[in-house]
Amino acid sequence: MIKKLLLLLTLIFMPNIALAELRVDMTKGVVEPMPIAVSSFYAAPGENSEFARGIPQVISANLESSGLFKPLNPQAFVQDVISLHNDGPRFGEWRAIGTQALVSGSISKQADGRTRVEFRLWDVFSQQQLIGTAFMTTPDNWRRIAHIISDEIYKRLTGEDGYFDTRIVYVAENGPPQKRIKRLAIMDQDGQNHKYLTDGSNLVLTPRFSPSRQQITYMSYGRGGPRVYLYDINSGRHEVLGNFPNMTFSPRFSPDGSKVIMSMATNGNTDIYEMPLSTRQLRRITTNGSIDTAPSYAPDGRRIVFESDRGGTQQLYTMDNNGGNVQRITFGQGRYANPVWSPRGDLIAFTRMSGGKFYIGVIRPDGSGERLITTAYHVEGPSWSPNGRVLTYFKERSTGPGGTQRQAQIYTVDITGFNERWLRTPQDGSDPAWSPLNQ
Amino acid sequence: MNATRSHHNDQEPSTHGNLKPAFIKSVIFHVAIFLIALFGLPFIKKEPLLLSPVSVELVDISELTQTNKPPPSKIKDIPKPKEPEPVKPLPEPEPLKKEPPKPVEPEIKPEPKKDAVPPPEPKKEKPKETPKEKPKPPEPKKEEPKPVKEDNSFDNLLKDLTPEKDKEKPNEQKDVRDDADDGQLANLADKLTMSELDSFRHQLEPCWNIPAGAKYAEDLAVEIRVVMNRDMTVRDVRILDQGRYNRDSAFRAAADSATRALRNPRCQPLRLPADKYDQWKTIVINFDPRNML
Repeated sequence: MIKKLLLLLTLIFMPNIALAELRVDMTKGVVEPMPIAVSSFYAAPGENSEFARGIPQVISANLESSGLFKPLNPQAFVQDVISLHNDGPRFGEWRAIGTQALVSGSISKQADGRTRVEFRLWDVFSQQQLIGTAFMTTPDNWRRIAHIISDEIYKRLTGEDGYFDTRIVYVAENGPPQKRIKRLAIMDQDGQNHKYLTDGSNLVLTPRFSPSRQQITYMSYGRGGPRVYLYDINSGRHEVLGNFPNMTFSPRFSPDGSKVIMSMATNGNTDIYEMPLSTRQLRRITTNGSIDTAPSYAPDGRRIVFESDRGGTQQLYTMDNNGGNVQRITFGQGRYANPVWSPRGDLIAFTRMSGGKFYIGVIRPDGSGERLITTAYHVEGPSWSPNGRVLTYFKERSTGPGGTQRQAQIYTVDITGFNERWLRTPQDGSDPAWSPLNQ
Repeated sequence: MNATRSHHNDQEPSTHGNLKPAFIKSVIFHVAIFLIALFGLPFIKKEPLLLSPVSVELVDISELTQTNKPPPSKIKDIPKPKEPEPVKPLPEPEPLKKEPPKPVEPEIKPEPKKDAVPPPEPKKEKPKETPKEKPKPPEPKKEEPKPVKEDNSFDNLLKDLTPEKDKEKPNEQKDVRDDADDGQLANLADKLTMSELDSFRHQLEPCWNIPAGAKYAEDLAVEIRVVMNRDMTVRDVRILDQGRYNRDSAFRAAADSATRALRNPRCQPLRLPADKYDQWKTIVINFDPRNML
């Protein structure tokens, strides 16, 4: 009996004993790029030395462009490549120069002519290896390997998928406003490996990447009016998707890439339609008497965001993929347009015109948390990186004598609204669309 | 009658004999109840906040104000890691892995095909790759996410250009300090003063990089148990929710970031009262970014 009582007393007072542990709530911190050191990769003397320098440079540039990392100047490094390769990191010294993460690697030529690239990511404070991976590749593929390694580092340190091994398709523009030549072009997300996909003889507009395949749709005004094309990047084939003379927006793919959704005007009324790529049979989704347009699927395919003037002004709405359960999500002044659902599902990007200015903004799918993150005289066409962290869009401004010329440039910005960057293109660029991760 | 009485008297001693253990049990039971009431009830009942520490707070107000000042001395009094090997006598939790990178344990990824993406033929004419004159970049503001310097700027972590007239009432803005001063801290105020706790928090703030922009970042609160050395350096850190750490990559990144805050030389040794080591030799820190997003 006494034992039971003692047990009871112990159980009762245990929580009080546990409370003796000090508890502290940290509710403030900072947002700043993480210092990271990307060392040159080790290569045997006379072997792949360009490779060994080039890969870390691309990794550094990628990480820096995200705004989340601050690669340290290699001149400040405290350990040379050979020592790093042979002895491992001397963490105390790396810590002393203020870095928190360290990337090392090596490159070696294989008997079959291929190259083995190996990298390791180290946490300098905990003195532990976070990840380490090796790749086999052909030497001319080194930039892609650098992007893949960047993605691995980004994922391990941020917890989200990377977006460096991706491409951006856009409309390359040049010439005077009256005779503007618009061609479809594609490049890596860092502007490298630029290529033109069309020759400029026909005007092209609104390219859209499939979220799951290396396919693009775009509109082209050739003989016989506007047509929608499907372009397969891997095969290089252009294919007519259909003639949609009354279409107001280029189709967007469904998340699995099996369908496209678009808006078309029939009998003076614009509504939203869906078309499976296999059957190419149109299915009408909205039947409202107002203008419903610019649809975009949620990543699970169950909801659709679109713009409509059914409430009197042009605002954003969401609905089920069968047209039911319509909800208005924006109520601000001015007009909202071009909504695009983030691939990670938590935000919808849009263009807003208010007070004589254009803005790119984001809003949660339930209509809360609207933020306008960039503005310009004319800014439009937001498109998400495949991890839903970065937006690309284009800005246009008047130039030349009397403002008769136009200059269009492509930008990217982090969804926090910081780290806006100009993406260099050989000519003017508009209507960018981000690819999924390369496969 | 007599017989009856004597019978009654016969039974009395035996009754007294039975009562004795019961009496002892009763006494123990009552003592137990008394002890429960004395020590257990305040815990069970959860006293309203700030009952006992009120007087303590009054004493600490001036100190609190001091700790809120932008800390010019904050950095200065932290010994900077100048020497390459200032390694403190940390009882190395993980011995430095010095194995050369040869035995590559990572898996070898499928070989990326060289011509996975055959360059689509630009039809006919070669575009002029070189722009005539490189247009000067309009210097897009390369605003790296800046370290937040002042307390009142935390609500600007996510940029918002919405014209003021459109903005909703900032009812979401919360006073972070109020939230932080929760009941648990109040209970502890008789041990470490509020000033001491504030000073500790202020010191860690510049070292904690919060996961702004991450998906559902507001749900990425991380609890870490920190074992301290007597010289106020961190001996060991342990993320409490190991299950989520292993299955949720976003949580893992947030937890690693919080861990780095504790191990960052900029924030070591931690500012804690040396004479109260027993109070802070183990600390559970909840890194909660909710109020900053």
